[in-house]
Amino acid sequence: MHELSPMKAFIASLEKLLGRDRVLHTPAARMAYECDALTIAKHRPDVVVLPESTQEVSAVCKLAHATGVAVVPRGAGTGLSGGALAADGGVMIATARMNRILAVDVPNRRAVVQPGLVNTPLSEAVRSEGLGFAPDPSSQFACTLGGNVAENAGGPHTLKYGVTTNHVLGLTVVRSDGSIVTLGGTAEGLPGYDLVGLFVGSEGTLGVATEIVVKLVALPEAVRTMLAVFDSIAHASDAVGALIRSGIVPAALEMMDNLVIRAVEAAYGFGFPLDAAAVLIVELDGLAAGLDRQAVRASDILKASGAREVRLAKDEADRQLLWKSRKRAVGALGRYAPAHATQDGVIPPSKLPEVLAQIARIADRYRIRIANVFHAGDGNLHPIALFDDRDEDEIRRVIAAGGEILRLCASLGGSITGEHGIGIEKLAHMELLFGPDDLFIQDAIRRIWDPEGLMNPGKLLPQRACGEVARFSGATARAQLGGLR
Amino acid sequence: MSGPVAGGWSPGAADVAIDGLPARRIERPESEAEVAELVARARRDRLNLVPIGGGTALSIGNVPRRFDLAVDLRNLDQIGAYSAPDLVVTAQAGTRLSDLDTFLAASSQVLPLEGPPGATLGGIAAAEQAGRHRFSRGTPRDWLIGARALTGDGRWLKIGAKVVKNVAGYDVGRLLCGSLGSLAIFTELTFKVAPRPQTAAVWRIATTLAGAESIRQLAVHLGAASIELTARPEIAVEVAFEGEPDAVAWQSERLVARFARAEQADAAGGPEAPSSQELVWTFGVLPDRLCRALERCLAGGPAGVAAHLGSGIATLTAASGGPEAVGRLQAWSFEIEALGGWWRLERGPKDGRECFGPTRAEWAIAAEIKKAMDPDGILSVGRMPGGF
Ligand SMILES: Cc1cc2nc3c(=O)[nH]c(=O)nc-3n(C[C@H](O)[C@H](O)[C@H](O)COP(=O)(O)OP(=O)(O)OC[C@H]3O[C@@H](n4cnc5c(N)ncnc54)[C@H](O)[C@@H]3O)c2cc1C
Repeated sequence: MHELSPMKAFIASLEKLLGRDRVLHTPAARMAYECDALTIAKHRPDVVVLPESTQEVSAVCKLAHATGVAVVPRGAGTGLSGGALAADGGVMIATARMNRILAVDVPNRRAVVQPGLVNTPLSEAVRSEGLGFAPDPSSQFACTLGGNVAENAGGPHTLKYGVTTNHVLGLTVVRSDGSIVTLGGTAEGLPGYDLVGLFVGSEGTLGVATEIVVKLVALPEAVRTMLAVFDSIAHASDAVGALIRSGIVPAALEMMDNLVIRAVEAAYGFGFPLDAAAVLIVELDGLAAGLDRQAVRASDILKASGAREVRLAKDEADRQLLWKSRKRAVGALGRYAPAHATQDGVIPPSKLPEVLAQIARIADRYRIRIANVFHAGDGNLHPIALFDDRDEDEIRRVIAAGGEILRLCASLGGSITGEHGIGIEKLAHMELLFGPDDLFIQDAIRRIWDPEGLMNPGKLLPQRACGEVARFSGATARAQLGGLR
Repeated sequence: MSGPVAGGWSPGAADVAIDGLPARRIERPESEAEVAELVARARRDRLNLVPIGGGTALSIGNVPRRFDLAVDLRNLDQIGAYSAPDLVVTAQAGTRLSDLDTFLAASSQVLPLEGPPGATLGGIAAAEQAGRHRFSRGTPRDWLIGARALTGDGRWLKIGAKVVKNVAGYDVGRLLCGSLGSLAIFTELTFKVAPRPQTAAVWRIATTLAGAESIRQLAVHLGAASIELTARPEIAVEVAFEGEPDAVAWQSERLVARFARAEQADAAGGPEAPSSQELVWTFGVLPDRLCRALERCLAGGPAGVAAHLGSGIATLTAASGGPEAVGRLQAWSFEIEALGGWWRLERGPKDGRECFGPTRAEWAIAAEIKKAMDPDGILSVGRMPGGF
């Protein structure tokens, strides 16, 4: 008799469970899942499943657990740190078919959603009620709520409204053994440890979120959006500090440097001055009463800090185009180089002038080009290295420069990631922030949820990764990870 | 610090008690090193060590079986690094919130959390205390960005960073907020802070429980900073607006246009000192069910009420808290659970009773986390929901 290999038997069981059309295992079908937006590291999962319910996710996890197969949750695959990479093969649970809004509670400003729901459609669905979901990552047209929860995603407006963790009240989670547990709920202030807060930002290592209770926020009555144009990056950085010191809390405070300005202008034609060294996008929102006065005050501060021009968005269409230019900026950089890598360090915003100058020096030293488009108000940098991913030497220099930038951030009391997560990308840099005791406790917490180490293995914590990195396929992945260490 | 615990009482220990159970000994460390020594001693002698700050929230939690050692952190009260332009401040765990508030006020900034007089930063975070601003500003979990803390097995944790945005690793800081000192002892906390609101206006509207809901709805719609209901015994709702003068004036106008009987009240103070009542019981439901919940609870007899209407959280108090209160508590928890809410008993017939409900499956995971961070079982043992 012919014995099936364990993986083949596993796939056969999955097909029995979900039907053949929701189990993808041909090499061609798996290709689409070989990486997330950290395209530098690639590895195909052995099989991809498309469950439609918590029960199906649970059944898949039970099977995987019984077989000893690794599970990798995946939303839209827009993650920038390799979180949804099937680093060890295994079964990828793609949430694409779990994309419904299950309930909206307008009086209490809550919604219950499935994890595969994309970010923007949630806000669109509740807009007529005057509500929205606050976290607005630039990838919001594609990324999923499950991915937002797993990465604790932020966005331009999280400066005022808070990141994902500030907007999640409850979760239904399938653990690695297939058991289903409810964390938190719809009411506030539940007794006990904040396991919802622990799960948010856990990068798929503690389980698969299959239902999410989110808070919705009231849309502001009025919005004023300004573009401040600067002839020097130093002045733009000073202006960020001056605005914060003034006591104004902008809804968003974003910076783009000249490389970015030129790319987005070519792509979207907003009318950015091509000779500007940097621009700030400053958005104020709230009640209409007093907002214009605040806008005048902000504009005065920006000019006093050296802005040569402050333009107020004429109308909603103008404002939308400005935000489109900002949110799609990274894509527009494609015209400069075949590949780009986004770093995600955080510094105290008062250190922006010196840090941006240092980043420019690092770029020179490693002979790479770095563009900056980032959340200036909370000091969340996104230095984007532009490079040719066929040039192994350049890849090595990009990785080395990125590491240097992260060390700089850590040395200033900052963080190595503000919103993109550790994934596989920053494993080697965890030690810049954490000592052995911190990592021990984090690993102990992980083992509670997933004793066998089957849930998104090789991510977030360095210990378990060590043995696994060597097994990545592809020259670029090896180069990348080699450079990281 | 004084010598080893020899079974005797140390001076002042009787002043510190949890639910009437006095601490057998109290220590007041003056440095992180002394805190570490005390943890080492507790491990060696198998003591139940309870970290305390101002002692204003000790009524939250199950009754511990033993209370061997109170570690009063109020001598660790230094405010450290502060960067106003970065909206970040670091202070030791025993720093009083009121002292930090005075300090931040000089730069027109604020940490918008509240605790009773004497409450410390460590205590407020460990008890996840939030006052009337919870509705608009959130809780310690939303403001804590970093900390130093010592686990039950003597590991110093460096949690978070000194920046307002950070997703590196698991969010252990959030886990410690609300852990009642059962996982680690905070010695230093870093918070993000906010600009102090320029103006505030507080409006008091006499009403009934049935009428309170429509006030709540309008106040939420207007973007109030807080919406508080009190029954002393007559029922009133206090709505506060904070921010830019023009905006506050507009909000006030709209509120008064609808509720002409609204009277301007003094600037809303912080929360009152813990009630001296014998029975203190807190619950939470969806905000739009709160007034209904209060009506149902009060149908069984009068009680004092202090409610955060915007957040759906209320505290009921009554003079008599002996065994005769048991029936009342059963009726209350029945009503609240039927409305999908949670509850906790803070004062009353607590002994031998689970003081949190309804029971949740996730508490089993919480118990495992407790075991991982405090394997010898020395930190605030027996206080968490589920009794671990
Ligand atoms: C152009 C661009 C701009 C971006 N801008 C921002 C930004 O402004 N702010 C920001 O924060 N991020 C940004 N990102 C990063 C990314 O979009 C976010 O991290 C997003 O939250 C990921 O969502 P996703 O659905 O694509 O998740 P994926 O990439 O599919 O997965 C991300 C992680 O989540 C886990 N995961 C996914 N679903 C679940 C689930 N249901 N349960 C448990 N774990 C799960 C995965 O295992 C993985 O570890 C950007 C990315 C791109 C490409």
